[in-house]
Amino acid sequence: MKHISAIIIFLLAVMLQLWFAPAGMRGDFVLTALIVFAFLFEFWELSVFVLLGFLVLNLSFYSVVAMIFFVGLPFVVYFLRKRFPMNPWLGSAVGIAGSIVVFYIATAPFSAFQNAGLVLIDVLACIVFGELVLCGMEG
Amino acid sequence: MQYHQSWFLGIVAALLLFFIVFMPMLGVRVRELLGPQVATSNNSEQLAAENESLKAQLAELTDVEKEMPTSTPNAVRAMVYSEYPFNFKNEMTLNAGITDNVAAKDVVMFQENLVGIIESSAAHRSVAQTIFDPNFKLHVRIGSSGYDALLVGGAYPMVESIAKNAAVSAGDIVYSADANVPYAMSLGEIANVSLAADNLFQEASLSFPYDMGMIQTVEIVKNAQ
Repeated sequence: MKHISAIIIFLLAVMLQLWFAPAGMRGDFVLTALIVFAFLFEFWELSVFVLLGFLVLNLSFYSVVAMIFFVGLPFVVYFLRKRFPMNPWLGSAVGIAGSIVVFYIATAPFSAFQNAGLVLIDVLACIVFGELVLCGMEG
Repeated sequence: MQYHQSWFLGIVAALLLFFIVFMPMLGVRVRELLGPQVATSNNSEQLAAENESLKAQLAELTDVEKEMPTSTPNAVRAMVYSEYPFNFKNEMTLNAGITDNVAAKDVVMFQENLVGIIESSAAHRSVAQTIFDPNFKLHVRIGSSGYDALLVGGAYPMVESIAKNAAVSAGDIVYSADANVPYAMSLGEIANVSLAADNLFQEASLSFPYDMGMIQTVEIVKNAQ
C-alpha cells in the first residue's frame, strides 16, 4: 500500500512539474518527492524512484552537474537522516529547502541569484508540496 | 523476505538504468503521456504566429511600402538549450555561436516573431536577451498607422509612450522600428490599452502567439547594422 501511494504521488509530482512549466514556473516537485521518500524508504526503494525520476525527466539530456545533484541529493538526505535521526516533518522541510537551493546554486548559480525571488517561490511551493506528500504517505 | 525484496528492487533499478542508457526515449514517451502537449508544426499556436507575422507585413506595406526589405538575410537555425530546473524567460542559451557567424546584436526569431537579441557569443553557443527581460527596450510601431512607441521588457512586456491621441486598439500588431534591429519584425499584438499614470501617454500590454518556455528552436537573423 505504501508503495502504491508512493507511485501515485510520484506520478502526481511529475505531472505538476510538467504542467507548471508552460505557466512560467518549473517547480522541483519530483526532487521534492524524492527528498520526502528519503525519509520513508530504504536504500533500494529510494534508488528505484530516483532512477525513475531520472528517466522520466530525461536528465541525461541535461548537464552532468544537474544529473549528479538530482541523483545525489536524495541519497545525501537519506544518509543524513540515518546518521542523525530527526522528525520527518521538520527534516523533510529542511531537506527540501536545502536540496533545492543547493541544486539551483550548483546548476546555474548566476541565474539563481538573478532570479532569487523565483527560487524562493519554488522553495516555498515545494515545502508545501513535500509536507502534503508526507501527510499523504503517513496518513 | 527482506533479502528477496532487495533483489527485486535491485533488478528493477538495473532495468531502469538500462532504459536510461539505451532507451531514453521511453522517458520522453512517459513525459508526453503525463505532460502538456508540446507545440507541433501545424497547431493553432503556429497559425497564430503566422497570422501575426502577416499582420506585421500588412502594417508595414500599408505604412511604409517603399521601405519594405527586398531580401531576407541569411538565418541560422539554432536549438535552445534547456536550463532545467529553470524556466526563466529573460534569456535563452542557443547552440550556435561565432563559428556559425552569430554575433552580438543579431536578432533571434521564433516563427517569424522577434523574441530576443543576441547578447554574447562564444565559439559554439550564444546567449540572447529576450523581450521578457526587464532591461529589454526597443522602439516599435503599432498597427497600420504606425504609431511610435517603446517596448519595455519584463515578465509582462509593455508598450509605453504611445501618443495620447493614437487610435490604438486590441489586436493591433506591434513591430520593430528600432535602428538596432531589422525593420518591421513582428513582436506581438496589443492586448489592453490604458492611460499611463502620468496622463501624458497611453500604454498597452501585449499578447504573444507563443509560449516562451516551450520554444525549442529559433532562427538567428544577422543584424546588418
